[in-house]
Amino acid sequence: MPERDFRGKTAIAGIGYGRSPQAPGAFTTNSGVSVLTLAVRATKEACEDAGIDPKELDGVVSFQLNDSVPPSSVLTALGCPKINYSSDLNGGGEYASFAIVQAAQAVYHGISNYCLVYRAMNGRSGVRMGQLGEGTGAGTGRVGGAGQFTSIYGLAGPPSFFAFQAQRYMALYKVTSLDFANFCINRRTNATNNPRAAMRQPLTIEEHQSSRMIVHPYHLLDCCLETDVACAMVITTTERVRHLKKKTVTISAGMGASSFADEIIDTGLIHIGPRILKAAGIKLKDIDIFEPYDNFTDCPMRLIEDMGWCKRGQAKDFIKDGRTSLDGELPILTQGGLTNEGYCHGLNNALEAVQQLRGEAEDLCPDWRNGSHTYDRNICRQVRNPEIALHCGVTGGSAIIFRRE
Amino acid sequence: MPDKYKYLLPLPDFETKEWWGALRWYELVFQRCTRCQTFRHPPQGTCPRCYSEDHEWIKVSGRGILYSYITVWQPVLPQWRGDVPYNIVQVTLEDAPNIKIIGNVIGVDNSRLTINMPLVAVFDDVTQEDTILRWQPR
Repeated sequence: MPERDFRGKTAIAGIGYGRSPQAPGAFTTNSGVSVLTLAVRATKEACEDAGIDPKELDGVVSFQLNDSVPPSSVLTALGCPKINYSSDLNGGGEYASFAIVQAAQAVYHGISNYCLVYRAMNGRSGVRMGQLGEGTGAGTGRVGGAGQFTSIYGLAGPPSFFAFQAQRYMALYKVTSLDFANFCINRRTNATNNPRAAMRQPLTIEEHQSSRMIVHPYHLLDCCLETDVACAMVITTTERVRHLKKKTVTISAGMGASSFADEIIDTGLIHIGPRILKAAGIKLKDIDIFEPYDNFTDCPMRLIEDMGWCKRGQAKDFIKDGRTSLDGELPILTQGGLTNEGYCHGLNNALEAVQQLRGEAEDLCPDWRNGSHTYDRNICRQVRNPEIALHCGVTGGSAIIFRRE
Repeated sequence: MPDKYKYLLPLPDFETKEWWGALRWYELVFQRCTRCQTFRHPPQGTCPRCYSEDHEWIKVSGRGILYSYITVWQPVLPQWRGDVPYNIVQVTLEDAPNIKIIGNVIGVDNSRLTINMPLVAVFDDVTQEDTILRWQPR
């Protein structure tokens, strides 16, 4: 199998967030700077984390929906003398894992030595994903393209597109909004000890249920949080990372990045799940943490089911009794996910996976930067000694497995 | 018929104009591949099953089943802001079960919408030139 050759050959050199003194946690509602500046900040931090000079970057991969900057412009802004690989993926969350996979492939094939992956957006103060509009012909009162069959009925914005999946899932499998509330409470608990997270107050069922309706069945607190943010990751060979500053987290396998299901409840993990486990040479039970794309509450629930941890409709019970908490058998969304930390189009959930595998989860423990954690759940959100993490893009469109050496 | 329709109207193109044209005659038609008989929607140049470009427009009964639905409380599109909550539905067709089509159900309280509810097509003349497909319970 060709994936066996790729397995473990590339690794994460560094990770970084677009921080500033005004935005120490990186995720804000109004960055006050350009998307390019955010991207450069995140890239600088990723290079510092790796212990390399940004000018050593010679490859770059990003994804965007006309809300960001061209990838090569980031390397240009950093004065990188050589660009051997540049990829500007046109799309959204389906590329959250795949962008990393593509950079790893560029490194694996020797095209790039240090390949940057980033996602940068003024997603709250600038172009808002939640306002994803009506399509062509805007302003004329008429709409062409796909919108002539959708927007003319008042359909626009991700909450309405995904609510069809949620409604059918809930109706066919007797899942309720209270089940959604339980999932949201678990996830928020992890965010309480994440200094980066925008939403850090403990959540109650009542607060979830009384948050305003956006698109039924989604309450406000079922929807992920639009933010201004940039995340960056530097990929190089595993051999090089072993000589850099940080613990070596390798890329075992990755694939994607898109899927079409005849049944709208089904996610891409039905197809990708078994393949990626085989490619990584592991079993499902070997996965220590799961960082799925949690744009709306039912999405990660269906991803848990489609990966095979439980059957369709059973995630509502699987998440009970602390099974998916930080000390449970499968910690999920360990930093609070896109809904609580903020929305970097799924890439932030991948950075979180790397932090956890290094044992460097950014939390309230005094010495977290040196990998020293208390495991006191009032301040600590580091999972105990995880080795393997699965991250995936929106509705399982792409997925990647990280493994600590 | 209202004098001024405040919502978005379709902008037909060369692949969709026959579909919209049929609605003017209160006919619901879909592209069917003449080689492998697979229905497709929205209209497109090639068959997703056998890749043939040959197709014919087949009139269907207009009998549908509610596949899924939502009710919008916070619309993105400003034209709908005065109408919340309003429903949007996905409907599958009795004569072409592989097709899912978006629409609104009229003449029913949103709380009574249920998956698998039988529906029938309604032709709504919203302007002198535009007929929009909607659905009602049957």
